[in-house]
Amino acid sequence: MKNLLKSAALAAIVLAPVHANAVTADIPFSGSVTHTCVITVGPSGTLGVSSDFKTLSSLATGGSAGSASVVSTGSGFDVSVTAPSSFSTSPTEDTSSTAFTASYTVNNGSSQSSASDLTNGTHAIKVNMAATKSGSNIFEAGAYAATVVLRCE
Amino acid sequence: MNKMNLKSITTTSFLGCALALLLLPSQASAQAMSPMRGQVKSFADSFALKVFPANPYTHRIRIEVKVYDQDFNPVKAQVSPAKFTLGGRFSRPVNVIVPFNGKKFRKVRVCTESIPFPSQKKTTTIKAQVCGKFLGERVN
Repeated sequence: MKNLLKSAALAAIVLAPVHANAVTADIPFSGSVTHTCVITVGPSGTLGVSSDFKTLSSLATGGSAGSASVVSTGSGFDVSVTAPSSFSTSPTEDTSSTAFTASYTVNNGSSQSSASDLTNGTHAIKVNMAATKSGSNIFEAGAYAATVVLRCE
Repeated sequence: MNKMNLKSITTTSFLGCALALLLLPSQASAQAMSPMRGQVKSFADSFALKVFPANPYTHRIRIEVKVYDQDFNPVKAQVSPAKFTLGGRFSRPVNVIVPFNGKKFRKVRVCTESIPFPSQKKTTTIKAQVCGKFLGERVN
């Protein structure tokens, strides 16, 4: 038994590594970000009415801008808005012509109606629209709704 | 912490969650597409593009892919599929075949547009449109 223990201890000493080397290895990772533009539409806007009932506008009292977020992963993109050509919802009695305009702000900057350059990053967009009657025409009573196109290209 | 405090915290948390749910935009939809620039050479009377509309968010959205010229006039192109529903965090390929219409070069915009679901139609005031610009060149 004593010899067996001695042999086992000797074997353990012989088989033990003389010194443990620390080994390192590089594990590569790779990925890519697409050159793209992402639009996320937020809460809808509301249209207030002017005291003379000639203008429905998100900038009028009781109105609010619609909002969206635009993420651009590179330069070279433009943002722009297109005003609606008609209401998607309006009273049937409202038959006189209406002029539509749309504008937007980027990160609470100045109001713009034409296309503007986007820099790399996330941008808060506020979209406004207005519908106006000309001459003696006014808006009929009822519900109105319209859609503005927010474009990134 | 006594039982009364725990009850008040639980009630406050519940009301906070309910308020947060109410404040979430009901019409949030996201739009993305890649690539957004491209140049294609073709020996045929038309040129083909492949774009990947993407839905980077968790909810399902309806998408329509349309082709316009430089002045945003619609272009008669074959888009397959032109309308589809895309699940959250998915993208899918869309093939677009644009005729040259006798021209040597043709610049087009391929646009991915969100389509509001019918139940949300009346609340939508912004339609997202992401457009890529592509140039086709007829080689022969």
